[in-house]
Amino acid sequence: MTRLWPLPIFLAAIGAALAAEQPPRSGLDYATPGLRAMQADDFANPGMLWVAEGEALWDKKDGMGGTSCQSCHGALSSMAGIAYPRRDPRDPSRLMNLETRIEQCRVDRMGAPPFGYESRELLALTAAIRNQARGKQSSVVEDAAAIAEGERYYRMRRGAFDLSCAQCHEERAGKHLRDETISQGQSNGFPAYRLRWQGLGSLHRRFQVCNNAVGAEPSPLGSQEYIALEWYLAWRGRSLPVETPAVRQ
Amino acid sequence: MKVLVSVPAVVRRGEAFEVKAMAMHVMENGFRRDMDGKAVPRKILNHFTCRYNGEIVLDCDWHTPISANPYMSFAVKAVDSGTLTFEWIDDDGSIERHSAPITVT
Amino acid sequence: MTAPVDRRSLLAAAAALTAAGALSPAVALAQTASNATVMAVALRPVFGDKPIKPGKVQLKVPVVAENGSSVQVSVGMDGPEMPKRMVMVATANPQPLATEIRFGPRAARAEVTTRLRLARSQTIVAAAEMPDGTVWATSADVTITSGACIELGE
Ligand code: HEC
Ligand code: HEC
Repeated sequence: MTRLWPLPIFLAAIGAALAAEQPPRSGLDYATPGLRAMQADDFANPGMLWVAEGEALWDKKDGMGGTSCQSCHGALSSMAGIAYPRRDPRDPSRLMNLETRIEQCRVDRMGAPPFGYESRELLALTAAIRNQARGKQSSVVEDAAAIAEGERYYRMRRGAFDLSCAQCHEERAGKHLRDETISQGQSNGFPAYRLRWQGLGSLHRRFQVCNNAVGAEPSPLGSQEYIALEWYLAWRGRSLPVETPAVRQ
Repeated sequence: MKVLVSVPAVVRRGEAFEVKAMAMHVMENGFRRDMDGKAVPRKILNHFTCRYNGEIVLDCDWHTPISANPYMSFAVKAVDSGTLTFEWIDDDGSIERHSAPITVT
Repeated sequence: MTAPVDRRSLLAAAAALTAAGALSPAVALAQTASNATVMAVALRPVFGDKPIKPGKVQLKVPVVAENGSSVQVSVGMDGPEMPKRMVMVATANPQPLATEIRFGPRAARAEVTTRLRLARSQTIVAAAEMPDGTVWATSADVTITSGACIELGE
């Protein structure tokens, strides 16, 4: 069920505050003290349950080759410096994010069935890998074409309410919308634990929520347009430290 | 089921120390309906126990208002070196156990 | 789309509270003895007709919780006394009894923090049954700006 936010009221307020370029701020800065405390403590942050599961999956043998991620890659910590999204080396027209990259290893290198986007296992592995870089800036592959494509999506008005991502996350950051404070919509905490989801969720699931909220047709999880958008967000927030797993409302 | 437990490695005899325990569980409360309007059956962790060298620290019944991925923190009295054990019981009868060593000086 | 203004002003209120009482962010100590009838009704299924005395029990809940699906709640006792058992009740949930806790010899204090899933704004009741059989209780109100279970599609 899609619920539309009370946008008429909201829209009336837009326009007055056309923001100048703001320095990047993490969603954590906009979160309530309770959520911040929950995120800061690894034994109170429920997202760490997925990280722990991902760490275990890293070492678990599976598939026709009877290999684990560890068999080929060594320690999980070796993944701390990787930069995603990037282009598929075998087909540079195809964009890959961390999730689709992991699935490719599952299928092509391990001979195992894919976990499926938004499955518990794929979220767990993605979170465990991203968590290796926690506290550090994530490197971003400087691919002008892909980033420009993502930015186009970001600035395009869409949906019944004709709103772009930028209109909320640039122009209205810090303002309240329904029961939430709009942040800059940064991606540095994903996959993130969201109270409303009562679980961990991917960045693309968050995109779908934001699309639905303005009455726009969401794209499929893992789709090329979402990966381009993810790439632009990574570039836009490149100075922020990785927080995975963030805790959000 | 994945669980995460925090127990300090070393504590002083007679002191109180904090323990935190979390379990990955949807805690389906039985009141929700799925997309087709069918009731989703209840499935929760209904019992949680912590023991210290076999002696009870606390023993809880959990009911439907306990949140998903249930969390507990509580204070334990340091007596002897040994083991803290944790036990979660699911509606389906399965039991998850976890233990953590503790050194008392 | 009802009353967005109310919701927003609540949030604003929450933010103001946090800023003012920076030491204890948006957490209120329950006033003891507030709501005798609510407590009696909430505790009858557990303690039957035993008289419920206000006091001795401490209950900490946020005044305003952003989301009902996980609301952090702490219970404890005023002094070092160890109760036989403590209970927590979410009075407006479809099944109100949340937990019953029995402390053993290795507990340092009768004190627990946990998280509740609350269907909507409501009164939380906490009670302790002492070794002498008396039952003490306290209550606290929590306002939920969006309840559990209603928006899982998001
Ligand atoms: C049989 C060996 C093998 C296994 C098993 C394997 N991988 Fe890989 N993986 C590779 C190779 C080879 C590459 C790099 C070459 C390429 O692009 O395909 C790679 C690349 C990656 C990358 C990108 C690293 C970078 O620097 O960009 C990630 C992330 C990754 N694998 C994750 C995993 C995970 C998670 C698993 C377990 C589910 C796994 N892999 C299992 C061989 C393997
Ligand atoms: C109508 C306003 C609105 C629009 C338009 C909108 N969002 Fe959001 N978005 C929100 C709100 C509200 C939240 C939840 C609070 C927050 O974290 O900002 C949110 C959260 C997010 C988050 C999570 C941030 C975090 O730190 O957890 C990301 C990422 C995001 N949005 C990206 C987007 C993208 C990409 C688009 C365009 C496809 C978009 N949003 C469009 C209102 C909007």
